Amino acid sequence: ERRAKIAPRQTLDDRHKKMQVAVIGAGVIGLSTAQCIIERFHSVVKPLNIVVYADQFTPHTTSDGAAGLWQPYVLDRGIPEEVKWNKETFEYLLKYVNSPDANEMGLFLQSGYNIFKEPLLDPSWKDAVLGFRHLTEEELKLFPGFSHGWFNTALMLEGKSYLPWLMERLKEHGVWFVQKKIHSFQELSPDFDVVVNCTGIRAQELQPDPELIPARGQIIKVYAPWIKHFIISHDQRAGIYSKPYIIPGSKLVTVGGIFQLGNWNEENDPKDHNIVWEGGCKLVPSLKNAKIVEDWTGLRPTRNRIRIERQIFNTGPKKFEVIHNYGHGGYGLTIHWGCAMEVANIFGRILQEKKPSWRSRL
Amino acid sequence: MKHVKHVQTGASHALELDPALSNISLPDAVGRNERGIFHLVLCTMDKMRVAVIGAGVVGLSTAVCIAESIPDCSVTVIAEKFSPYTTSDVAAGILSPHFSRETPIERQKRWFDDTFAHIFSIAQSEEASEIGVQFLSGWEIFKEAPIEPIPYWSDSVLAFRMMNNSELKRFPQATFGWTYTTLLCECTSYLPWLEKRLKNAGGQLQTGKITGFWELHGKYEIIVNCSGIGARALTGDMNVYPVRGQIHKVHAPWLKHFVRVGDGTSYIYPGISSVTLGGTRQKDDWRMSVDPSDSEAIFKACCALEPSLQRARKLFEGVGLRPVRAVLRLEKEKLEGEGSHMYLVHNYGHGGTGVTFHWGTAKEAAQLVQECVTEIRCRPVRPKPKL
Repeated sequence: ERRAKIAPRQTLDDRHKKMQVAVIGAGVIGLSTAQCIIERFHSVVKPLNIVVYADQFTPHTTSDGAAGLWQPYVLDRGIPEEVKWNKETFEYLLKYVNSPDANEMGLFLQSGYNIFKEPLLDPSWKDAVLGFRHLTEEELKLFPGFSHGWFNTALMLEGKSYLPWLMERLKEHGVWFVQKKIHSFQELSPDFDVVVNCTGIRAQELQPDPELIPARGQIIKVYAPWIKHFIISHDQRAGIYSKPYIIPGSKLVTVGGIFQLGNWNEENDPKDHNIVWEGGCKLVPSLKNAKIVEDWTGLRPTRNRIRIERQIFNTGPKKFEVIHNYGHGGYGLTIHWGCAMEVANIFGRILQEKKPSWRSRL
Repeated sequence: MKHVKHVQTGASHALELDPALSNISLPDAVGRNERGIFHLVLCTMDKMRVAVIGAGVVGLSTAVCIAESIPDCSVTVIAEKFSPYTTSDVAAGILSPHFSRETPIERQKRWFDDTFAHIFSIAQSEEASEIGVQFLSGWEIFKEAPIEPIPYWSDSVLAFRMMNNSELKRFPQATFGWTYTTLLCECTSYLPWLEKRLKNAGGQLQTGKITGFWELHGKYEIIVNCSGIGARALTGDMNVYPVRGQIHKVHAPWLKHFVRVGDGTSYIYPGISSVTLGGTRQKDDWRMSVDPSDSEAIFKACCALEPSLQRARKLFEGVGLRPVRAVLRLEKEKLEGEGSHMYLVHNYGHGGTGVTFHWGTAKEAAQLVQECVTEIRCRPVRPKPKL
């Protein structure tokens, strides 16, 4: 049911009136980018045809396995655009949290702790979240061995719910989905004016990018409904997400603490399972009574900075555009909407170049 | 050498008990010190029999405190209802004091601090989930700022502070609020654990209805009255009255915070097995059956606070009668009658703050029982000794 017919080639006249857009990748980045483009331009460009190509759809994408906590890395690289996109995403989601859609989206509020063994500067996102503050002395007693920490209320956005919700919104707009692995941009160029590249860790396969590295994560999902806060422990020398963390979800609790740069192994490793389990039980002793449901491994598409840029392909029979949107590391859900809007901005500029009378509605 | 208290003067005396009498089972013994010969009556060296009436959170915790701190006692809990049929089982179990100011604040603070410390150590342990204990953060919101902007218990919970504007924005009716982290104790798990702990300490449980304290005369030396709303009929105390509370337990595991409206009429408490939605506060209302118009009002009010509740799966509803008393009755009484007397320790009138105060009042009640035990053990029946 996911196969769709490609529209037959149009005449030159028709081509001026419409846009054919292909989005490669159906994780949170691909789907939200498609949604942002169609929402902003569907009344401006008629027809605006979007087809999403992916080898994996929900629930088999990287986004589906992630815990879904909105939280950028704690040690900022200070990239201003990314700080802005993170904040935009939080504000966008916060508007939905009291809406009737929240449940279906997998969206809810959750508070919790980031704990450290040494002091560090407040993060760039302290004003984006709700009620950010430092931990009191009494609270630090909850975490022996840790001397500093933060508490704030953030959002949870669970991929397993959010992605199907996005697909429903896209279907309402007539977006098509095709389960197919795309091996090159050129494969799509005859039929599409713009290709949006949201392929995450697989972007290498379409275009070599030495900056894109997997950061392997392995998590354990357990049933522990008495845990109502996230707890993320940090060690500045070890690096982000290399220390135990516990993130409750709507049904199960994610226990993690693995961040292995350069490791492409997508199989669960029993050694990592033990590291994660022991680390989690040390943080929260009652976890010992939790029922283990499953293990999962995913590859965070890590890059020095997210690649959002336009690339024009002039070689070949037809000129086509590629907009890249990949490299979101372990903060894809956190930053997705800001990036989607940025891609929509680029798309808007492409439209204006094609036909100046098109005005994008922001 | 034995130290005894002179019953009439209250003075403490060191006595050498006559070795010839050391094997004899008393009621009386003879001892000697420099002041002469004292005739003392000591009660039978058999254990002091204590009956605790009531098997809710107050009764069971009091029984445990007595059994564990006074090895001289054998404790039997006598109750009509046991978990899961007590008032405590209906409660959400949040540790959050909202009590009449007629009870001195220092006492309330002590009871809350003792209970918080006790539940806190359980929360940090491996057994937390089995015992029904969890941490919970959330928001207490007000239409208008309360008379006391900072409650007396602000230091007792974790990280108490005022809500800021961005936090208040989510609750359009609220102009003021508190946010803090506290504990929640689900009695449907906690009470069975207390029962087990009591048995481990040598205590016993017995089903039975007590209509008058004298029923127990001759079988028990000390009675501890933890009968909650039942105290009204049992003691004739008109100061304790029911405030009816109806609740709805729903399945909404994505909810991670409590929400309480300042006057206590609406609240959402996510627990371990379910989320408790409430409530009602109907004074002098003894109805134990679920009222459908209350159900509707509760659900509507809670959905207004948390719209995602519309999608919650309803589990079941319940009613509890909060045993409200302006002054929590925690005191000793000596009942005279039939040529004899009985010692009575009252521990009731916790209102909607039973779980919140239970361990603190249990400890204090156990101390009162200890005082009774000491008094009984040192009772003389011979003429006054020469000084």
